[in-house]
Amino acid sequence: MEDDRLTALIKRVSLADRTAFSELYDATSAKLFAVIVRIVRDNEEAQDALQDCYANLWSRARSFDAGRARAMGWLVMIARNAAIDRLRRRRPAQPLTPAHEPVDDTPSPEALAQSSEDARRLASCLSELTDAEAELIQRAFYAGDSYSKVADALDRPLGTVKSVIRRALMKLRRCLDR
Amino acid sequence: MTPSAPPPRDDPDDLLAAELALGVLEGDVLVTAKARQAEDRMFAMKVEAWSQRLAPFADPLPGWAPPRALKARILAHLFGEQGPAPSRQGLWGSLSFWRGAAAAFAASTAVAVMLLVTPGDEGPSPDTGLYAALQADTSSPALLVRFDPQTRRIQIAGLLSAASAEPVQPELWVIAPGAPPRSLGLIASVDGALADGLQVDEAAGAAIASGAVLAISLEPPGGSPTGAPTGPVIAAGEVRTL
Repeated sequence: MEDDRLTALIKRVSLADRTAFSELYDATSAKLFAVIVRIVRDNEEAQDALQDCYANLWSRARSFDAGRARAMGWLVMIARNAAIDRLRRRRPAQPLTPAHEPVDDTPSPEALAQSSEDARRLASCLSELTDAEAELIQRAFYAGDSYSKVADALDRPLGTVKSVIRRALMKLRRCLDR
Repeated sequence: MTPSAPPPRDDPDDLLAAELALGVLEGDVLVTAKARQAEDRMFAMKVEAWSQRLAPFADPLPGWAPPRALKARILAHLFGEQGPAPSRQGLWGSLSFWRGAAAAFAASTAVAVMLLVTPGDEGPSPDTGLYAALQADTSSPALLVRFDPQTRRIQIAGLLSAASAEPVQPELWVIAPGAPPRSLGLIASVDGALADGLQVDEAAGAAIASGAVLAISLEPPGGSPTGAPTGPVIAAGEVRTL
């Protein structure tokens, strides 16, 4: 199973095995780059963020706990954190070098449901949210937007955005932990 | 995972962990939450759990290959200009790794290292010695290694399993802080039967001390041809004394 292979590679990386690190890069960089590009939306900066991501991965591999975490989930969150850190540090007026091609919109519920067993459960729980809750939580995830950025982009009051996303998170938790 | 999970309003920490994992925080709240994640293990586990809940959102994303040159840049950034070490060297190449490994094993709560009593030089006592539990992953110790400094004899108990297409023999190494790996011998036959024990010389015996790391690599039959480990590490653990 793919996640077992990634778990084994992360274990070897935690022992500073550079060959394993190279294999892990080959196996995961396209997925993690896709996650990062959507967030930073800038080709140069996405590459810098991917570098941050693999540097963090190299130094934090020993903290990976296969008993609690799915390997790809752990990798995705390191990638998102690297991208979001870059995004938050960016000067507001910084000109962007656009990514090569336009980034897709939010994946459809069908695409989410068909991509993995965990994603199918997530899609099923997402369908229990209101449209606004589902929209905002996905926007926050895929674009890495902060509360205030979501509020600005959608021209909604910050307090409303916060309460909608918080409600969505708690509904998701209840559903996923069911 | 239970239906009786506390309602969200009872656990503001869980909500904050969710917000941090989702990435919606900013400013002072973000700084404070990250500091808590670094200091508060319970909170960090909540963030990790939320990361796992949310990560499947990324599963449907089509892959987007980064520019080819980026990999070389990242490897150069991490490992210096030469890129990845040749595989025969693997992780065993650098001294700094072993210093790091000793620190890593000491710091990691995931590695179950078993430390028992050593009598030092206070006289013969057949039931005492140095121990290390070597493990391949976080789930369970793979091997228990006992060393008696009096007789300089190593005894090994446990299960050894490693899948390999080639015939291999597991070789035991000791890495004293700041020193290169030193072979202690082959601990099993090619067909996997554990050796009864290993007798080590005085210099090797002196290296098996508190703070050293014991590791097992898979080597060609007969042992490493170079005197340094060449194959993958299948288990490792720290030696300590109580």
